[in-house]
Amino acid sequence: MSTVEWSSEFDEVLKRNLPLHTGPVNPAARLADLGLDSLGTVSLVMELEDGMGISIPDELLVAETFETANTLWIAVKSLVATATA
Amino acid sequence: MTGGAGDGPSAYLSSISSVLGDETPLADVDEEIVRSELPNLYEQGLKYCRVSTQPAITLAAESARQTLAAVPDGAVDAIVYCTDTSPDKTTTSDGWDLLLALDRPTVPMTVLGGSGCGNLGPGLAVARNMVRVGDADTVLLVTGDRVKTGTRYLENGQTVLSDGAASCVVSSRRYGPAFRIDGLSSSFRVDIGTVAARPIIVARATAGTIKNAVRQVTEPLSLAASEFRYLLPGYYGRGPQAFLAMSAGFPTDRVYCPLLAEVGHCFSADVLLSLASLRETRAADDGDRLMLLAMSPRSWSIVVATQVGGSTAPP
Repeated sequence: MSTVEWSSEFDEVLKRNLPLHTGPVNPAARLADLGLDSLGTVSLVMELEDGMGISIPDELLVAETFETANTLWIAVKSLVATATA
Repeated sequence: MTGGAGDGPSAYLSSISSVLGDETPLADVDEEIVRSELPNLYEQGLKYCRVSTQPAITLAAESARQTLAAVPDGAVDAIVYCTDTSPDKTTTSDGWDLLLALDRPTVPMTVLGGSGCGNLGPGLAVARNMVRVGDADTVLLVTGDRVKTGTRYLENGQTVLSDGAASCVVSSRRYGPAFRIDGLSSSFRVDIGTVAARPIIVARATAGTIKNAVRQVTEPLSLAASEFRYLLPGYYGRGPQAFLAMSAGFPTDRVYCPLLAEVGHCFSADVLLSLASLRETRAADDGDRLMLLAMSPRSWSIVVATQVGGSTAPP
């Protein structure tokens, strides 16, 4: 498994919205393979926004952002940094 | 647009009636797109749609006559007609034809559109406000729609359109068992594009707008989603229902769509059909709070209602 460290808040929200995950989420795993469907994507977005104090802009609401846990974390990390700067 | 409690007399919704087209198995609908989507539509919980060759205004008049028969003669002093169906002549002519068909040629009438299958929300807002400010004591609210051209299949809602009408009165009086309208909030967002082009953006915008509309109407009433017995959305497929429930903060087992399989999606009549079913099946008790969700792909209305019993109208 890749070694990417993300925040515990991100990890909790992510796992809540991946019905097929077992154990730690592999950063390189495709989120769709872990059960993320269209309903789950919206739930994930709303929970990330509420839980991490960020607003995900429309240009990031594309399939590429939700490809893997790592692609999503890269987007979220950048938004958190901007929000707390 | 919002309206909470305490701004005027209470408004009650009662005397619900409906007229639907012929029950038609989805497999008998002569449309290639419906045939190709049959397995998905069955999975979404649909079996039939309703098909009528009658004009929308005729369906509306037939339903409205049943509602009028349940209230005293002369009680109705305003009419609101909601439709998303293009008029056979003009909008005004159709409205006048409705008044003539109801033998109410002098009753002030408003034709309301602009919110598609969510027209019931603005229609209720208009009727309720008429009652609250004293412009009318009892308003006849009628929906009437049919598919005149194009497909019955709705990809967004994973459902099939049905022809039909529903009606009720909105009044300061309770004409028998009723639903008190406690609050109402309507929102629009027309700049989000299409599901096909921007699925995540549209879904997030829809969920966010519904969430905000729910907050706008529940916060002044100090209510939480857990205090509602049911969420009553339109008759969309099970997938969209789950999405709407999540957006409104409800678990899916509190979504009330009792006629989805038999009726399909009857434009803005759906929520009235569900309210009538609640009464007929006694699925709710007096005092139960309900959240009604009337929507189009670009507009959303949240209505807080409470089931109440008894009559306050003179016999």
